[in-house]
Amino acid sequence: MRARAIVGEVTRRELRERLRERSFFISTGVSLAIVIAVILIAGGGPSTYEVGVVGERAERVVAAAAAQEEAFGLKIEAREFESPEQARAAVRDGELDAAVAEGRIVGDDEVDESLMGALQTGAREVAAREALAERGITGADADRVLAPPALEVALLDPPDGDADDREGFAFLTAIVLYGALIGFGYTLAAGIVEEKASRVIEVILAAVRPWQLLTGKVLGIGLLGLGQITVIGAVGLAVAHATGAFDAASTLSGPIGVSLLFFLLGYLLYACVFAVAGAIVPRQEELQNSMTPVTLLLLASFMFTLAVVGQEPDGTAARVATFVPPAAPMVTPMRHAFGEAATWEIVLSAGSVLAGCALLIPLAARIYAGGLLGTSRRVRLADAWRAATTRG
Amino acid sequence: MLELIGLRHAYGATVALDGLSLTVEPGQVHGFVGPNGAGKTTAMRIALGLLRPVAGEVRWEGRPLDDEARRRFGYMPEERGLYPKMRLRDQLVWFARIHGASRHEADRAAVALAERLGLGERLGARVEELSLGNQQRAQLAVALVHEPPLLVLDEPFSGLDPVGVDVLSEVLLERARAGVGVLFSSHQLELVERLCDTVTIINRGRAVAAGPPDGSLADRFRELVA
Repeated sequence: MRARAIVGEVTRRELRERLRERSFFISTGVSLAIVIAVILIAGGGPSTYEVGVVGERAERVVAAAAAQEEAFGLKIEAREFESPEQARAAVRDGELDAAVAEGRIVGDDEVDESLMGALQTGAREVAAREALAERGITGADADRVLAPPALEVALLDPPDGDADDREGFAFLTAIVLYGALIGFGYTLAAGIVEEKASRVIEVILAAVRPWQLLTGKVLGIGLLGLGQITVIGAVGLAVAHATGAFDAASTLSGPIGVSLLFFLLGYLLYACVFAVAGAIVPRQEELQNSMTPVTLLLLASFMFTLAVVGQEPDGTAARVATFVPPAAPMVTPMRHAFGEAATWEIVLSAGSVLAGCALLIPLAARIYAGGLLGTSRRVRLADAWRAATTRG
Repeated sequence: MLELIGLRHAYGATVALDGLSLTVEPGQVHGFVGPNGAGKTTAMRIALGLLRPVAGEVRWEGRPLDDEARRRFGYMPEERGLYPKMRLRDQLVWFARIHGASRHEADRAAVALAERLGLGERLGARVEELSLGNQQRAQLAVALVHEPPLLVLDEPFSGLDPVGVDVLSEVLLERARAGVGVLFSSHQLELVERLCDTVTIINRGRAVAAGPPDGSLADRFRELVA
């Protein structure tokens, strides 16, 4: 039987058994929920305010305010009330954001600034219209006075129209990648420990070489990760498109492609370390401990990506981190989502992660092989390294 | 034919094998007995390629043993183990596949063997749901499912209930009659005497006596264990 066929059997087993576990679907569901929530919060469109109205004049004030919706970036829905008391009660119960009654704006503990601005503008317009009417100026003449053509805006440094979309997406990218790297890294390590703890490893190793087993496991779990991120990306795009939060397909399909690439590279790099963390301990209880260095490294890279790259994606620190293998899998897709990563930077970044993998894979494969048969106690790295030479 | 020739192995300063040699002929049931720590498990692990000897050689069909030939052996380690959450049928098929069986052949053999060992009703169960006795049978099934030309079984009878002992004995003799070489280790002299054509007694990493299981060999064994 050829090595490739054996690796294929190991990969298929991983896929089949993991897809039977509820935990995979739960983690996918949780990630989806987070992504959808962020999209809905970030891009839910303008806020809608409900405003109570008492009397005919208040009605005109609110109508004039509603005519300014676009300028203030909000929506106003008017609700009529019979008496100021009823309107006040509705404000106090939180049913209304504000009410206009007896020539006053009634709010609970505060009235949102933009709503206040719109209502005050509306009030000014109504008052001005009344004053003009007293002087016999009405209709189109009054409009000419009250609504002259707006000033044209000339920006010297116009912002990217999609800037907000990009920023939201860039942060989502980093969060999803971090979650996937740590989640699937842990799945790999726990699977390795399961084989040791259950002692099935010795039966397997009689037929399968350690490198074949490791390759098959890394491939199987990596494919699951790729599938999960693809689903999250597709559902995210669909939700964004449906709610109009992001100008979905055109803006984001490129960054999603780059994210998938960097997930694969990052997973390969981190899988080496997670595999070692799993191979040197005999029981799941000891795995948290042996994984600490790699989870800390991932967390530090993630924090750096959010705090430094997220604030200044074209800064020196972000540019340098693009070529630092442990950070690059999160930094580069985020910079690309911001529109700040040049093609050569992406290529070089991918190359640097691959170089890291090329360095780590032989080390990890050897320590993994040396640690597998230590099923009674934790194996020291140096002992695992030496033990590999005594294996058949 | 499996030949272990002059095997030496050490764990740090502890010598585990000190020039062990033995031969398992096709169709032969070969008992491998000796006190704890004599080197039985180490010798079996070397035969399966799990350990590399410091010196000596393992030969199969007259040639140095390679991965391809070794993959076809059936192995039951002293420390039993299967995937706890994998269903029995999937598990048997998977092990048959990694030992080189075709998909069709693997499935056919898995079902037939499970029936033979009294596990036919439990094919859809996860291994962790099986009773301990049935887990032992499942372990044996994993060693047999790809129809190996050589069986290496480390203490296969330990932990088996009397019915299991009978079933396992029958299966081993049946395989041997079909030409399969069987090497198994045991502390239970009575079983060895009943089943084996040849016995090798090992002590401190060396074969100290070998031959058919007659009275003198049994005396030698009792001396060592006592």
